[in-house]
Amino acid sequence: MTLSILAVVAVTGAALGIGTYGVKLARTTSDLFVASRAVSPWWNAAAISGEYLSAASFLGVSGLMLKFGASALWLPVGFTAGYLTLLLFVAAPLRRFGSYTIPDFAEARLPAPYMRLLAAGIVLLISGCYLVPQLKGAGVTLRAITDAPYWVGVAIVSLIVALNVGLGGMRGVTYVQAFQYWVKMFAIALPALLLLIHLGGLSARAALFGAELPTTGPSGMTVELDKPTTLTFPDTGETRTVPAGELRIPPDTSIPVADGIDAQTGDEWSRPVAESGRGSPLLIYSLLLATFLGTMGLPHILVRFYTNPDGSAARRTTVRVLGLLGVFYLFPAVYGLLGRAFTPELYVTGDTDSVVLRVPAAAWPGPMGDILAAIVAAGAFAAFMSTASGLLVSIAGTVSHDVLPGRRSRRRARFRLVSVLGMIPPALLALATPDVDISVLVGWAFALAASTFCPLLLLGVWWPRLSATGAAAGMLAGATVATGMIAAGLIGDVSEDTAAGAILTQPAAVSVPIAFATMIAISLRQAPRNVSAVMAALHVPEPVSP
Amino acid sequence: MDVLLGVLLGVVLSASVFAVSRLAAPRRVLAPGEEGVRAALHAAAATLPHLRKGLTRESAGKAIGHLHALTQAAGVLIDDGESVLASDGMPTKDLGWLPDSERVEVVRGPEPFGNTVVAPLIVGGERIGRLAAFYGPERRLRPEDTRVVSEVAALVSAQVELSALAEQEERLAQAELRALRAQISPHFIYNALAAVANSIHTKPEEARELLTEFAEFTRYAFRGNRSYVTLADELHYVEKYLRLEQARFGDRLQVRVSVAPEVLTAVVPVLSMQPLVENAVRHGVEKAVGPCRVEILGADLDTDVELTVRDGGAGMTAEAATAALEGRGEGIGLANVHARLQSTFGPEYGLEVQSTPGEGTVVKMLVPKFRAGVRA
Repeated sequence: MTLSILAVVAVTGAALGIGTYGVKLARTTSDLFVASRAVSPWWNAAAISGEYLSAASFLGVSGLMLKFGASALWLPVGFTAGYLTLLLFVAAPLRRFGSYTIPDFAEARLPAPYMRLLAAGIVLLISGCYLVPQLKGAGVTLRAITDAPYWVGVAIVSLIVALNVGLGGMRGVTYVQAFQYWVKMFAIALPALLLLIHLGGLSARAALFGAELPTTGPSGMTVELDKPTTLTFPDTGETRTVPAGELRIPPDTSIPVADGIDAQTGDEWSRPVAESGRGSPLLIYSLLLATFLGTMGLPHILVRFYTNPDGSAARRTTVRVLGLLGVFYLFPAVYGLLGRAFTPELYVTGDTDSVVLRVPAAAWPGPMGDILAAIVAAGAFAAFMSTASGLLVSIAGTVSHDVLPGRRSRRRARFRLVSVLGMIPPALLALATPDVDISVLVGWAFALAASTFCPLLLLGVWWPRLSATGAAAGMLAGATVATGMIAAGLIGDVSEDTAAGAILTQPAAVSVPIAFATMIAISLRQAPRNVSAVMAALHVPEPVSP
Repeated sequence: MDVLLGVLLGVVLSASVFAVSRLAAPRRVLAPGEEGVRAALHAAAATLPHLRKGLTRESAGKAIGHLHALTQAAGVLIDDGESVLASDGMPTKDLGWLPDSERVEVVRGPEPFGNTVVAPLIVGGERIGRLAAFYGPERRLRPEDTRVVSEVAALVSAQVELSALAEQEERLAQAELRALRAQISPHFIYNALAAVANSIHTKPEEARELLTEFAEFTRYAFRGNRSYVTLADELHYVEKYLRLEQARFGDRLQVRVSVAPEVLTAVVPVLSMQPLVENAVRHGVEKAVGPCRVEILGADLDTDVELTVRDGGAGMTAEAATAALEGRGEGIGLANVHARLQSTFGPEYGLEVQSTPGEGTVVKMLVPKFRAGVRA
């Protein structure tokens, strides 16, 4: 416990220190002849992966897996495969084009006065939406290691990130961000591997993965509930609300489950596809669509590709990102699996997002478990701190550069103001949605990106006839449909068991086709413009340097 | 629940349909009776971008269809006084009967041309070609027809004139660059060659290397026809330049280059850093006695890039610094770079000189990471 707090404080301190001094350290300091050396694809790929791996990857995937079973693993599949579409269709042309942010691209490809402003607005929407799960991760983590209420973690981390960006103000330097990837990789892989070695297999608990429901075992189970909870007891089928406090569950009974969780037998739990619910094909396809197409529209990721010297370097970088992420995502599954065996009490409390943090101490009681728990907690902090900072820099930069451009001298002050104010809406949203899973929240950010910037980029790069009006209408339609459906799902409190509920949980299957169709239909109605110069800039390979 | 979903989807879909219809339908600012005016305006606007590239066979060919629609004649033709550039709706043979005049003329041509209006295309007081509109033998000419054809000819002339202006602007930018290239001082060339000569007997290997660097540098500085390069390229040649200067000054010139790798892909006008560094060396080292430090720093400001060249030389007064930027002081290198940066990136960007006598000079250069149309 104390160890975890120390580790978290150390990571936070290091992050703040890097914000202040890291820029100086990570520049190429040399006497001569090093300035023109570009960043290599490996460094770049690690930096992109470091920026990308957020609370959703570090905590959310395992939590969702514990809750719903193997069907949650489609999420990391999509998170990684998104880079495949990026690699095939966008990475190299966009690098050749030279644009830094998505508003840059939008304005240069489709010269219309409102284009930059519209794209900037959507950057704010996506970044804000992506910030919510990071802050939720903060609340969950701090609660798991200190028993502080959920809102404390959200408030503290919002404040730290806002101050860090407001005072330090810079996007993480490539080398620092690359280092972050290895910190996260180490923090999730080392405990997972050591735990697997320590346990030497799960034969004693193999029943958990058979036809039975998980049980409390011969000694029963005691769960501490911090609020009145509605529980379903699978043995009797009854549902009742249990008051806060200690709940004793007798030996050899099936474990009761909190609201929103289905009691699943091992067989059901380990199947990646199901007839209905979380594993329903409709939901899975919608989720895959969102992640496949949404990755390219994440504002804080795309700017990192600017560092590549040319188009082919951008491609090489993307291939390496695929590898680095692929390796990382092996480990969340380990925690989900161990969680089902060692921390079944999370089914009762419903706090499944904290499974990564709780498994080490539960599976390996004693000092070793505490050390591993501290490592994992530090990694989780690194994950959401770095992603949240990157997103906030995007928000503040977009506002001070695109939305309210003005005198250079005032831009700095505005950047600071926005980095504090911009944190407030996501923080409030995070406080309002304590019961929505981190990964579901992230899914929304991806759905938004997939139904706005993805069609803009894909059609903008590959279809000369795309018109400014068409692109604007398509992005507006996609954003409206996606946010409208998400909001309806939140307000209506839908269950994922029906097709309607599934599509409201993950709206990409509806909103992405609408966005594409709107863009294409409206562009076709307008006279084609001559865009051969822009198309050449996007597609003609760089000359071989002399 | 399903009802709520249905309502929501309905609302969203109808909102999208509404948005589509609002955005896609051509906005009716004109009454239906004025449809003709609208069509004419459209045809006129459509010709503009083509002709702004100058009057060639290609641009005339692209514009001729719209000109045809604009005159509402049976056929139109553009020539450059000798050969036909483009025509639409009529054959292009046997046109010897077309009058060659400085004014708009109406003639009756043979079958199938019929009544014809010919208007000269005049750019900069000089006739560069003709626009002819054929109305066929049946149609009687009305006074409007002559007016329309002469207006269309004026429109074409104005666009071609604009293209000539754009060409001149381009030439001006090229001339500025040539002026800068000419300024890379003969002094430096002499000194570099002298430094090579110095070491040719004692350290022949080094002399050979220096000579190669010199050759590469001069090719970059004098020969290249590119207007923009990546910052990595520019810095690469700045380093070559500095090596040559170091060969001359030895330990007296200490150089530190510290540039964030994230900014190396930014695109800058060619020879934008080099004059700043040459200034720093000239003012910092040549005028000082002891060792002198020249620093080149590059900082990533998210959407912008800030490059700093600092020397520990004699420095200058604030007035002299302002004068140098405006090109009134000695050496117009700084002014030239500043002007090119501002004309490329806008008034937000450019150079800034901070200097105090006795404490050296700091020149800061600010450029954006991306600007549409500026490519290496």
